Amino acid sequence: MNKCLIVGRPNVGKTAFLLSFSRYLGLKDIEIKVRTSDGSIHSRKRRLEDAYSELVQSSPHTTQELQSVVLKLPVGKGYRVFELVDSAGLIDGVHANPVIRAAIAQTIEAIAAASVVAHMFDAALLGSAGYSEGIGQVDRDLFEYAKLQADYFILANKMDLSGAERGLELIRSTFHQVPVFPVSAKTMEGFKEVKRHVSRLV
Amino acid sequence: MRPAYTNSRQIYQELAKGNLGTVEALHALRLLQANGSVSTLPASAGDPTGKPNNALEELNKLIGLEAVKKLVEEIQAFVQIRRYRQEYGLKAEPLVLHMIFKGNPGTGKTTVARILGALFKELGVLSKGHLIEVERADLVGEYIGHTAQRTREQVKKALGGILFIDEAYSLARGGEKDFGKEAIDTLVKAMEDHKDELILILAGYRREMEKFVQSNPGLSSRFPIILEFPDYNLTELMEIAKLMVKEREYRLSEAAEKCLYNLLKNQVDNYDENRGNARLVRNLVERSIRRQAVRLTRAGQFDRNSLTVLTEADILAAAEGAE
Ligand SMILES: Nc1nc2c(ncn2[C@@H]2O[C@H](COP(=O)(O)OP(=O)(O)OP(=O)(O)O)[C@@H](O)[C@H]2O)c(=O)[nH]1
Ligand SMILES: [Mg+2]
Repeated sequence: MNKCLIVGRPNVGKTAFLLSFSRYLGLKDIEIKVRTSDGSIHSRKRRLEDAYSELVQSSPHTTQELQSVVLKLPVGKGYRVFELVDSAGLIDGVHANPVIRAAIAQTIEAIAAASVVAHMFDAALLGSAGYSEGIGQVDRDLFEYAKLQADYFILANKMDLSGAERGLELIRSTFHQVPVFPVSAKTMEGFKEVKRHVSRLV
Repeated sequence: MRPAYTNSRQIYQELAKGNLGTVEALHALRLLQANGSVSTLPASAGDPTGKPNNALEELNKLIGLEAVKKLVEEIQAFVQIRRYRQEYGLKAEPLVLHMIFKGNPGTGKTTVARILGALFKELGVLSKGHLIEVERADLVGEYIGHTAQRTREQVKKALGGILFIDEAYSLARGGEKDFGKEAIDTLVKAMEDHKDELILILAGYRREMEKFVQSNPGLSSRFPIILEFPDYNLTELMEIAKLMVKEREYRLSEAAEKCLYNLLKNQVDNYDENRGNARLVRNLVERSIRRQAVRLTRAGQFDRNSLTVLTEADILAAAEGAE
């Protein structure tokens, strides 16, 4: 089964997207497969809204393992089944917490196993007036590496917030020749385009 | 030999251990993808894996680590005196040499463990004195019974030497149902079964180790020796850098030395997460050497002097690559 891996910095909305996109495709209850960094696998069944309030948090490094949902996309007369995988947020340097480091290593390792990589940004943060750091090194390197490994596209998330348009522009002017989809994991804006694009890839 | 990344697994492991940052790991992976392998540097003269003739001498050559050196000397004296006392039929304290090492990455824990192995071999406490370095992933298995089996395998490899468990607290991470507990139980049993042929060292961050010991009351009596590895200070980091440069038969230009000093000072002053980390100094030095090679190749400069000098530009280029 093809894997579409969502990667990006902490708190950009990866988990929110995983769950919202599942809801968008019609799921109400989901089974989340969790793969921890030491290799064990287990499954959690939840109502979607319960999973959302449990797994989506405003603090960084919430997700510390790979968690995935199997999704069905209508293609032609039939369906295509693929695995949408959420991962741990990436940072530039070395994290002091060994558990988070292991999760980051696991995420990087997962890139090689994915057939599609969706690289997510927080467009609202990038575009906000007080944010001067711009697009960081890890995102630049991720871009360079991931597009060698898989079909690659960018999700500019949190488009429902003010400033996001500016962030989107920054993303588009930094990363050339790759598809960039403005979305909101909150309002599901832009999901139609993502769905169409992913259907062609998986 | 410094690690040459010939496969991506090594890179993932170094990333998890904290020897590589995410950015560096992605670079390395890209290089690996592009070339099939990444260039290597010759092994250095002072490589700690080299066999020391005299372990204590080797230890004393290390920069800093004064408290560690003192304690190791005490342990050596104690072992020797105990032996003499036995010869006179005097009461001898049981010899329990399991240890806890507390400190940040890059503060010399593995190096000291390796030297201790050699020392205990010299003293006749251990038959081989080799070091087996493991972490949670090497011990914990995937189903009931698997963990005990894997842990016993590692113990077996370490018999006659030292079993060094990095980030030992991660074994206690998952709570009651986690296989980590099975690993701990197996280790405790191995310590009894192989009392005279195995030394265990539990290592990790200071705070996490202290919590781990506190929450496992049996541990402190089983691991009576505690060594603290403080972060290196600025002077020590500079000494380490200079020694590394010298061992590799290079030298720093005056400006390069100043530049390096300022870089390290910046880290120390800003309480950078990586301050006091000798491994980062080593990375910086090694990267500078590669930058120098690129610079000389571009300039077509191959005279002896140019080949030995690292300039400010090399250091700066190396530091930039590290960001
Ligand atoms: N307004 C708005 N908020 C969002 C959106 N997507 C996510 N968030 C919020 O951003 C925060 C982080 O969301 P998560 O989905 O947990 O982010 P993550 O990328 O999975 O974070 P880590 O797991 O920590 O790496 C939460 O407070 C979400 O409610 C969005 O499209 N719009
Ligand atoms: Mg998350």
